[in-house]
Amino acid sequence: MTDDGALRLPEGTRLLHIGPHKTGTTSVQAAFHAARAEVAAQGVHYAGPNRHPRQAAQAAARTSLNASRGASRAWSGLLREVRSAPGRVLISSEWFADASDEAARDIIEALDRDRTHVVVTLRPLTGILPSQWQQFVQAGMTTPYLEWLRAIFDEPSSGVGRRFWRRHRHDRLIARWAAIAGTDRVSAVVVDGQDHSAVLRAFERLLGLTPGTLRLENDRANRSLTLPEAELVRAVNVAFASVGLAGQAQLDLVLFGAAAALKQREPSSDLPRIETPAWAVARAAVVAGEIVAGIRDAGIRVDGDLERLVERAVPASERASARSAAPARDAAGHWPEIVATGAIGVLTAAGLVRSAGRVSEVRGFSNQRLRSIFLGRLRDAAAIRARAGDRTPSIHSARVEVE
Amino acid sequence: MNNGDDGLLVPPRTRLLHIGPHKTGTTALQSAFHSHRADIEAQGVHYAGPNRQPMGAAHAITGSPSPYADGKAPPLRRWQDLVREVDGARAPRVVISSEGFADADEAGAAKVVADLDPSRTQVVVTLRPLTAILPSQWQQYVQGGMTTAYDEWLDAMLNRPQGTIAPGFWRRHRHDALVARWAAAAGVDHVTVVVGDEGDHARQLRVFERLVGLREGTLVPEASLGNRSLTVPEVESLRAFNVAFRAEGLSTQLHNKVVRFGAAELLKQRTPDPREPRIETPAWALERATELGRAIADGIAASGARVIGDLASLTMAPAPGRARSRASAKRDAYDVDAAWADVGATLALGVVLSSGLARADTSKSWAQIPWPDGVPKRGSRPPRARVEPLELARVSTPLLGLILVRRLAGAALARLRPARRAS
Repeated sequence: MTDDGALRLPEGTRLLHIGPHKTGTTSVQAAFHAARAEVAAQGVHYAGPNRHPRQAAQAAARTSLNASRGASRAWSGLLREVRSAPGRVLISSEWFADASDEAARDIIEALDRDRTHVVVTLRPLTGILPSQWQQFVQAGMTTPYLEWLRAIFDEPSSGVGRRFWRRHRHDRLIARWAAIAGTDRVSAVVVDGQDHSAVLRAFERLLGLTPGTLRLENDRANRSLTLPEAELVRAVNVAFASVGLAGQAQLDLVLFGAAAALKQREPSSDLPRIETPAWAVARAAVVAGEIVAGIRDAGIRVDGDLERLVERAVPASERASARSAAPARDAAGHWPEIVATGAIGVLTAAGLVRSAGRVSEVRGFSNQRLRSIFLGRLRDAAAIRARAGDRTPSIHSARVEVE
Repeated sequence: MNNGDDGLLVPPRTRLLHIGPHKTGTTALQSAFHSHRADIEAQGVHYAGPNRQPMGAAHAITGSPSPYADGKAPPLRRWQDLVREVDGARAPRVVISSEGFADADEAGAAKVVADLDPSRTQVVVTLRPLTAILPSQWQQYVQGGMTTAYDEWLDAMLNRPQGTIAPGFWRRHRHDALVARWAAAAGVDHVTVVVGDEGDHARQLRVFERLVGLREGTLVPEASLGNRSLTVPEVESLRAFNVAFRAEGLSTQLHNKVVRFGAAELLKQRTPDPREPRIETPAWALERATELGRAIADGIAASGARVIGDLASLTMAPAPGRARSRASAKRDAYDVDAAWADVGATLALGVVLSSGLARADTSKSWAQIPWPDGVPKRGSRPPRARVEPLELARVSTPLLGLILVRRLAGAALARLRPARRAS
């Protein structure tokens, strides 16, 4: 560990936070978005009009097969904004982690290699596994947890495996970016599972902000689904796929509908969580050991204790005794509300609940966001009128990729 | 009591008016008539109305709110068309069947009989024990948007019948009063009560065959037609949905669209595991319903209406303990959570299908669903077509425009002010 001053990046640095997914990125982004004025007063610009410049990052990382014109405009707009900002700048999106080597090189070039510093947030694999699974489920996956774990560990080069390990083989992720940006221009921040504000302190140190400038925002909307919630969403995916609702329609109705509505509720503490079996925890510990060794070898700056990334499997006997001591978690009494919440979410996302919104709920959204949605709705309404009588569904417009 | 084979057949030129009430096997009966129209016509019986049952016409003449007319009474034309069809029928006997008639008051019943010609009308009331009707009617009300829990509803129905919850229940299901009402309209010698056999639902079909002179076995309900009662996960999911729906302040019309003509229909097409819990009536309510059943049976016996079947069976109560112990013994092997998730997915799919968002993609066409009185209109395609956070999806487009204009104007003013100060 180094002292705070040593971690501070030089004046004029563009700090590129590349995630990866499920490492507390939303907490960081929400805190910076909420404290824009305060950080600006301290010479730091948080890039993008919204909490998370997802579209721009997806376009830059070239992850989407259907990168839209709007998305590449968002990326060039973001670049313009970064270039005109004085002082230090933070650009944060977990989607950068999915970039190919070529895309990563272009990103670093565009940001100016000499001024760019890459930061990677890290979290133990055992915590990432259930979190990433339920996120994939929200984005349309129908594979059950155990089957998915088997694919991850036994067939790492399968489609499912590659998609996961490209993000979460963190030593290789770091090596990839270090090769492009330079070893001295990459930092890792180990995220504390207990103290969620620790990662904010780390970003304050990197950017030379007064400690306490960033505050944890209520990011319930970003929480993981509990087991019954995830199982409901998975069943909805199966049902929707059976009538041909997939891709963008699935995202619209499930990720931005059912799952979004579920996440707005505070989950009851007695709902069962997604539990990783002991064999998978043990396998994850082995990989985590390799990851830690790999990061040590890379010689990059690390804020936090790398050893914390390795979580040993708890022996079955201890798990059993812990379980018997804790009150049994049972979804039974909660199911009706979970099911109803999901269905209302779908109804709302389908645009059939247009009357219930309150002006106060709109406060957090930027003018740009409101304008694009407003104009989009007008365009859609016109298209619907023009196509009256047409029988094909058309809720495919803005393309995003979210998982 | 006239229980024999002969004497059941109504005279030629009779209009047999089956008034239900609800939850007495009407769907099976109507679907049997509807799906065998040609065969039945050839045997001298006309089944009135274009669909499985003329619910809209019944609601029109009785002035009842109808889900087919956005919760208003349908235009009287619906009823007049039906009467015209009955008058023009060439077959010697006509059957008109809708449980919608059971909701008529004295005046409504009198109008119906007057339009159909009192001398030619024979009113048929089908009956089941109250103990069987209670859970079935409750879950039907939940499909219609009710949020009251079963126990609370039972308490209201059985202990405080004058209350505001489901005020229409006893108009339908105080069966002695129902018979008396229609006897007053049609004459007691023009009312026939058919008591169902809980052990043999097909018996009711045989009775109707004999009433209008059809060959035995002519009436067979469609196998695919599931007007089954919902299971506990299904009905409790819907009830929770109704609570959330009300909290959003949404309209009854929208509820009809997405639940009655969407989610509820899709739920009934599920094939639930036999171990999926069914609605159970508590012992106190069964006792109370049995007592009431006795009073109803006595009232009907005293009315002088013709009775087919065993009135005593109306006082029967199912044994409550058995079903429960069997279910709990098997519960270990049965994945309750998977059932709930499946119910939830079906509910969500029903919402989407009824919204029209997936209409071209459905393997099962909307028109193939066995709607009681014709395919409901789904209206225009929903407006949504983009990724929006839920908070924004709830805001109407005009309001969104207003917020935007206000904000942009505010920003422009703020920019103007320092400029003015400088100059």
